[in-house]
Amino acid sequence: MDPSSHRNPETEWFQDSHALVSLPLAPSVRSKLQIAGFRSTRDFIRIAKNSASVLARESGLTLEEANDALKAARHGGEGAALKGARSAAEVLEDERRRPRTVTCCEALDDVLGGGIGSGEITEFCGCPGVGKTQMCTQVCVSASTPEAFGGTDGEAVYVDTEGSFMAERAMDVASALVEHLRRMEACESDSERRTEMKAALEGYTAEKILSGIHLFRCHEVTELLAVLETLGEFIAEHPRVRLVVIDSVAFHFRQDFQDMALRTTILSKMTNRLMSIATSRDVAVVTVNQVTVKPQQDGPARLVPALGESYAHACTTRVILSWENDERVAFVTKSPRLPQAKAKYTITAGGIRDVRRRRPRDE
Amino acid sequence: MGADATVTASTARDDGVVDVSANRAIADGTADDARGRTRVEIERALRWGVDMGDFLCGCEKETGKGGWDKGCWGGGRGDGGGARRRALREACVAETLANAVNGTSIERGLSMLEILPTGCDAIDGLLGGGLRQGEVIEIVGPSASGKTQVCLSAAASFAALGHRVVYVDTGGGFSATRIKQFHRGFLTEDADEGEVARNLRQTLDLIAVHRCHDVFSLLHLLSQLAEEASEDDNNPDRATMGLLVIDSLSSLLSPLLTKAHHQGYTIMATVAATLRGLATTRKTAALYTNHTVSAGQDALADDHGSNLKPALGARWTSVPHRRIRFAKIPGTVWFSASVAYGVTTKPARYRIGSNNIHGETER
Repeated sequence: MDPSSHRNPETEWFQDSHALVSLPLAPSVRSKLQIAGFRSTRDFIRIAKNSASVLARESGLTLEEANDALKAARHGGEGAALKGARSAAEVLEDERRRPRTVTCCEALDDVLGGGIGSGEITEFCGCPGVGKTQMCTQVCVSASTPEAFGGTDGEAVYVDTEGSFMAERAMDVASALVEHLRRMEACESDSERRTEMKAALEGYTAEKILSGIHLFRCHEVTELLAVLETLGEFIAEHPRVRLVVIDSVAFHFRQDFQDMALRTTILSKMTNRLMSIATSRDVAVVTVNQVTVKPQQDGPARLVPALGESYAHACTTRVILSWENDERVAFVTKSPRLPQAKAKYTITAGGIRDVRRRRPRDE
Repeated sequence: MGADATVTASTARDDGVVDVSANRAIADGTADDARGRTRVEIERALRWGVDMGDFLCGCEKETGKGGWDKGCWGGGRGDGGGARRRALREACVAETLANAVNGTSIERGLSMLEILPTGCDAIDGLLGGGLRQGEVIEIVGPSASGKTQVCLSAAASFAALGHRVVYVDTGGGFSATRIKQFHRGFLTEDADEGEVARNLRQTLDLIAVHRCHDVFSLLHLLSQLAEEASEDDNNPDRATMGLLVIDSLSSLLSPLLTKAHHQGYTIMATVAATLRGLATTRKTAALYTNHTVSAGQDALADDHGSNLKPALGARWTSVPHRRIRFAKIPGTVWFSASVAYGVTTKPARYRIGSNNIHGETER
């Protein structure tokens, strides 16, 4: 007899009384099963003998429905959910080894803990013109940095909802990156590393970088949701994808919706979807959000990230881009592992860069 | 007398089982299957409209819905049907009696429960010492108010004390690096490094991280955790599950809670029952987070000038034993924590440091 038949009656009751309700079934199927007296997956297995035809006969479901119900009941099998766990020690090891996508602005990479992390959602928000799309273009390009230079050596997916992706601009940024890496290689003193870098730069051109950026253009919210729904499969087919950019999430959600409750629901569903792509495929997800004016009860109105309070919980790390004394500033406002911090950045012809300290003679 | 009754009932059941579903039970060869069958039949009988009281008292009156007899008993209302019904009734009584507990044992059970610290003095003070085993505690607060930080700190604290922690991560918020920092913060500055590293290893190994992105996989996990309990009870080598953390529960449930999704509230109720059942049967402290949503323009602002309400709202209020509310105090680095539901105590203030969360109880 299998050991699972010796169970604590207390927990068995508990298990049995909830299992059927916890299966993802259509309400009509569920109620038919309940009327027929089935309460748990164990009942399926014991009474229906795991056979769809028996289950269909006993419960009055069609054979197809019975098949689906059995499939749902068998999903994962006994103890499978528990095996999905990873110990914190493994997670720590992963966090240490995980390559990060750099923004090419050292100050910003520092406050982000070395760059944009995979397995999480990083959101950039800010006013128009502050450099959100530039930031996205930059990270898409730098995702291709070879491993010899400490990069992720991967491809990127760019989901464009606003039509703001400019291939020429991406070309500039990519050429600047190639140039920069060449210079790095030339300055390297360690001969072994230099050979390694040289080999990595073989055939590494701006055209190659651009061919590794997969662009999806979404004209409306339905298209956006459809892309996200199939993105998991796309990444499975293109295993080198290390970064997914959505520029921007806010655009369609801010104009296509009358019903705010529906918007919240769709947004949270979308977030769960993105999160599951980020963790299951171990890719970095970057989202872009706009800002909106929020009236205050006392004092002047403030600029706050758009899409409301409930969406604020959606991202793992939130970076607000803004202007401060004619300088661009990135401010990490939310992160589970990093303290709140600011970094200055600038946008050059070659992409996002550090703010150069002015030499004394310039002042 | 009670003992006698039980013996009689179980004997009767054993006989009854063979009688009830003779063919199947014999064919299956296991009493367990027969018991499952008995339960399904009881369930089915009740669905056909047989009054539970009549059923248990054994009144042989006409139910008015002949379907029960005809549908379930196969033949007419002969002697066979009566005997079967008696056997079922006794099986039902026996199961119910087996689950009865008296006050003394409940009290003994309660006195054995421990209160364990969250690793944050201010929150512990608010909760009267920490998290009690068997209790469900909710943290509600806006984004970036320290919810995940307190979850991580509590996980580190429980694991450092030798309890197993199950951490369900829905938003990529789990950071092992942060656990390591909190762990270092629990120990004194001058602790031996080797000792710290050994202890850290044990702590990290005790934390199991699960990533869940939809409510059905959460329910699946919870039911398997409950099932695992019985196996653990017989294994003294394994540390008991001291803490279950779900960060965040509301992000899994909120996509379901709309008018369009008519199963939403059923599933929410299932999660509530499963969570409380798990906390009680496994003597586990369950800590979960709930995010906030805007309460609308007309709602009254709270002390900190924000008009937010919990995402899992009025229908959920009765689920946690205690609900604590976090908020950022504007213009400072401090956060405030207060009990929103449960035994009320004085509100506390806390701030998040590099390796701890520390409080300052008086203002």
